Amino acid sequence: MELLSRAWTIVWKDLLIEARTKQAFNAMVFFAALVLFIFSFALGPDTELLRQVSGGLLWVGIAFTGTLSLNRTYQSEEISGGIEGLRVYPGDPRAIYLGKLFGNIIILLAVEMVLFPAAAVLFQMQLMPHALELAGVALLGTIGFSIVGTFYAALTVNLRAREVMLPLLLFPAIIPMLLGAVNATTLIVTGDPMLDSGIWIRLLVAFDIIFFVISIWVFPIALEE
Amino acid sequence: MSSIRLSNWHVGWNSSRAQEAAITPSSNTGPAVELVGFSKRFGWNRVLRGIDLRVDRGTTLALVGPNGAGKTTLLKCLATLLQPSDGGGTVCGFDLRTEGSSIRERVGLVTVRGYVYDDLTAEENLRFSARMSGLKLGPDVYRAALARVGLERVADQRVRTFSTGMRKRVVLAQLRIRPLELALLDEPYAGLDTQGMALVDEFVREFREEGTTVIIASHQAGEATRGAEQTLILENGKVEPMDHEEAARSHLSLQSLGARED
Repeated sequence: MELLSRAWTIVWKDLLIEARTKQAFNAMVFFAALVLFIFSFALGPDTELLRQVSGGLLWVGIAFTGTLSLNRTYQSEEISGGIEGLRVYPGDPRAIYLGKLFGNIIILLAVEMVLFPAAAVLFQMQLMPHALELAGVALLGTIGFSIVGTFYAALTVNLRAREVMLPLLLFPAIIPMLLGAVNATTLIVTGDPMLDSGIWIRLLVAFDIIFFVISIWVFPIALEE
Repeated sequence: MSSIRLSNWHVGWNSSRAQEAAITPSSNTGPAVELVGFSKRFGWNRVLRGIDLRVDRGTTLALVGPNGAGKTTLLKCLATLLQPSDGGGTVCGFDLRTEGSSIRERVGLVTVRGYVYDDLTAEENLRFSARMSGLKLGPDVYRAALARVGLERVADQRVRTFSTGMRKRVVLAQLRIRPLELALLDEPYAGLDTQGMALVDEFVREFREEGTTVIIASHQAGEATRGAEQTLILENGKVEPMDHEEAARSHLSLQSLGARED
C-alpha cells in the first residue's frame, strides 16, 4: 500500500505540473495531428486504402507522440536535481517507476482521446460501432508502450544523447506490442467476422504482463548510477 | 520502543500529528556515521580515497574543503544517493550498501539547489515531500513550517516566482517537517541573506538540542564551523581533523587555511 501511495503522490505531482504548464500535452497533440495529416496527404483520397492502413498509421502516430512524452518523463525532475530528487526519499524505488508509468499512461490516453477522432475523420474510420473494442486495444497498447518506455526512459535519462537513444532502444522492444495493436485495430475497423483480433489482443495482454514483471523487477538496478 | 519526534517548534503541532510523524529510531546505539576505507570513483576520477570516519550521535560536525574536494559526493553517499566504489560503512546503524531505505528514512539532505519543483507552490512542495516520506500531515502543519521560515504569505505561490534565498527557505522547511536522526546540510548558507543565515544557525541549534547529528559541508570554513563542535577538512579525497578554534575564527576562504583551491 505504501508503494502505491508513493506512486500516487508522484502521479499527483506530475499531473498537477502538467495541468499548469501543459507542455507535454500541447506538444504531443500538435505533433500527433501533424503526423496524421502528413500520412493522410501522402496516401491521397483512396478511402479503402486509408481504412486498410489506418491501424498502422494510428499506432505509428501514437508511438512517435508517446516518445515525446517519455523523453520528458524524468527530464521534468531535472529542475529539482534530476531523478535524485525522487531517490532521496525512503521506500521502495519501484514507487518511482509506478508513479511515472501511471502518469505516462494517463497523459498518452488523454492524447489518444484527441488522436482517435482525428484519425477517424482523416482515414474514414468507423469508430462508433466498435468503440469498446478499440478502447480496449488502445488501453492495452498504451499500457504496453508505457511499461517499456518508462523503463528505458529511466535507463537513458543521464545520457547526453538520450533523445536518440530512447527510440533506438524502445522501438525494437515494442515490435510485438505494435504488431498486436496495429493488427487488432485494423481488423476491428475493417470488420472482423472471424474474431481474429482476439489473437492479437491476447498477444497485447501477454506483452503487458511479461514486460511489466521484467521492468518492475529490474528497475531498482537500472536506477543505480 | 521509544520514538524520536519533531520538536514542538511550530504552531498547530499536536500530539496526534506528532504520532503520525514519529519514526522508529535505529536500535543501534553506535555512531551516526561510520565509514571504513570508503572510496568513490567517477570513471577514472577518484573523488574520495579510502576515508575512515566516525561521527558520534548528536555531534554537529563541519566538513570544510575547497570547491571540487568531494564534500557533496560524500554527503550524497551518506544519503545513499551514490554507492561507494570501495569500502563501506553504516549510517544510523544501517549498512550503506544494503539498507538504503532505512537510512533515507532517518536522514535529511539539503543540497545547494534543493529538491523542490518550480511549478508547485511552496505548500505543495512540502506536501509532496511529506507524502513521499510516508507522512500524512494537515495543511496547518505546512503553513506553520512555512511561517517558521518566513514564507507564510507566499505559501500559495509557485516556487518559480521565488528568489534563490526564498527557494532555499522552502528547502529548509522541507527538512523540518519530518523527524531526523542525521541532517546533511550542503552549503546551507549559500544564497541566503543575514536573516536566512541566522535561521540556519537556529535550525542547527535545534537539531543539536534534539540529539540529531548534523554535518554541515561548506567551502567557507568560518560559516560552516559557526554552529559546529568539530571540524574536518576534506582535501585530495581524504578527511583530516582540523583545529576547530582556528577554523571557527576564519571568516575567509579555505585558501587562508592552506587548503588547495581547485
